[in-house]
Amino acid sequence: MKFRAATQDAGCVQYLCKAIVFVSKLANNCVMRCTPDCIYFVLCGHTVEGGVRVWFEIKRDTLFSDYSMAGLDDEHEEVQLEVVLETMVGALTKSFGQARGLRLKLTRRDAAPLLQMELELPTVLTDESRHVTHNVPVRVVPLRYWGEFQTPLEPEFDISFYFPPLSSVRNVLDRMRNLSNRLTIFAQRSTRDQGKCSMRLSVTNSMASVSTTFKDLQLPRWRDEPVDAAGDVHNGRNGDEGDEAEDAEAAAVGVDVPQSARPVRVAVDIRKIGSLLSSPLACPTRIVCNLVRHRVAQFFIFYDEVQLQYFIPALDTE
Amino acid sequence: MATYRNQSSIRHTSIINNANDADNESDDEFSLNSGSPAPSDGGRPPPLLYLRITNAKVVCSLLKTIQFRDLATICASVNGLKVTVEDCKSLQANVYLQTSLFSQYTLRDDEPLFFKLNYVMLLECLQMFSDTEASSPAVMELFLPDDRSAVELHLEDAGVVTDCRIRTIEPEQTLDFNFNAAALCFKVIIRSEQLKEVFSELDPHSELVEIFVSTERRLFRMSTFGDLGRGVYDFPAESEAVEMFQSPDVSVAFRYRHALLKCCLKALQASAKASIRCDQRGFLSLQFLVESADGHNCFIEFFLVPNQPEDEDEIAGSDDERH
Repeated sequence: MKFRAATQDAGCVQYLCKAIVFVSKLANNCVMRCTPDCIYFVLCGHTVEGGVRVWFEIKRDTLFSDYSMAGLDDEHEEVQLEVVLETMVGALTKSFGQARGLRLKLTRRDAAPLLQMELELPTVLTDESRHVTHNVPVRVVPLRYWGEFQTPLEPEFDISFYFPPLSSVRNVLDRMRNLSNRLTIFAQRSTRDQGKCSMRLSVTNSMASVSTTFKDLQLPRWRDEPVDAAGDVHNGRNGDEGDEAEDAEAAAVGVDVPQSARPVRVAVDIRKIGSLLSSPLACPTRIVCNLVRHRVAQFFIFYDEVQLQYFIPALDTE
Repeated sequence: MATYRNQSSIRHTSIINNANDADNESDDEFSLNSGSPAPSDGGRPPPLLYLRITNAKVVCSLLKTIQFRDLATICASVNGLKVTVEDCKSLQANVYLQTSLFSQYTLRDDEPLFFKLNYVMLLECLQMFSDTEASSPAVMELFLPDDRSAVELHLEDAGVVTDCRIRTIEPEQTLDFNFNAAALCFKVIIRSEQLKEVFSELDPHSELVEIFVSTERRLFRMSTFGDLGRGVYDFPAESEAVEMFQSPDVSVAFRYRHALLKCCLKALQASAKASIRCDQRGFLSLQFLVESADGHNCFIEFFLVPNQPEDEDEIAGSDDERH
């Protein structure tokens, strides 16, 4: 197994460092998956802490000029390393602002695997660079656990929509956090316009209850979705009682509230969303939010260079 | 000079306490597709109070200046709203929002209404705007329904709609300081720009602040007594900062707890000028004039009770010190 990646661009180094710092705030345990195309940081938080799961994807071409790896064997073309993000962050935070280049390499010392991070930093008086090397201990993830860290494909959700722009939501969430930790997200397709949906965020405490509604949110199109006669888009789940045929029939007849337009409700810990949305990286280009009724809220956050998937489990499952 | 309002007749009405409404979290009853509630919802009696304001952010910044305690009592009368926050029977702050500030103001019965609620919650709800820039106007509607169990707020800012429901608490009678504006001891009007510098510089280790007004020398003095020494700040009547100086018959000095005076600082910082009046007992009335861009001026008023130390002599010193 080997892994090597390098970049000589100061901007890329800083972006990567900011990304690692951001991700380290979301959860503690991290597995770094290096595939031929991308590097993923997969974080699975403990259930005690709320159990969020994060997949942070960086395509090799966007940030690295030099990238080479050899996986476990021909069948499993991947390197999976368990790493403590805090140590990586500790190595990077002091000096990444001035770094000119970064080199990552998987090495070994005394039979213990290490991730070697070599930073190229400027010197004070001359133009030459000095190189600072940090060796971060890592553990290789055994093959039998690899399944846990695979990126989930095409999740089954009850509703999917584009989250409103961060500038609108951030202040609302900050204020709501002062009222209660339990945030309820409702989303519902608009009956007037099938291509749009509304989302409501709501918190309650013993003294007050507040809800903020965002209307006219676009719905993204997922690939390979079956579309029924009424133009309604389904994806696997349709709620507990309905089934696809029934829905199509109801929609065709013009029944007022089709199954897929029932509101979807998920209650989550507001602090998890807060940490997600206050990122040091630049404003995301798009955020897609998928909700599974009473189970999980999933966010896909697309930045220019990287992409993040974030699962927040619901606070109560019914 | 506009006339300031005093504590007029306060009628105490016993009010229904907070009703326990179960949290409604059932999916089916909730629907995002219904419109926002109108002032007179089908079936419900019209609200006791309905008001609408088009620049909620201005009101919000005014109300934040008196947030030094958790609870506030609101009085709604034909003249407008009065929001009162009190501390330990020694300090009372009032913000007056005249009817002209609101684009709509409807009081169902002509009698003044009283209700009390958690002020921190109210301010959190009022600040639930979509972005923090002051440029976009935010529309706010407030309803007090017939049963007075809760105050309902409806905020709209750049397409984002927020609905809040804040439970009310049984209101208690607010303090009436019997401040006699007709028989003042002294009255001074000072520009806030200069006064706020003094307020923020007052020695934080001094528990008391003394206000001394000298008839002979025609000056207004604030002093502090800290471990490291005395701080003395003088405003002579001739100074540019002093717009009006009505001196007492004889020089007087009263002391006030610094912690209470500090509560006035935010209001002072938001204001253009401050009127400081004192009655014969030493009760202080501070009135701050807040000017707004659209010409609607608002008043924030503080009443302070003077400190009554057991042993006045040791700090009083000799009269010579003052002259």
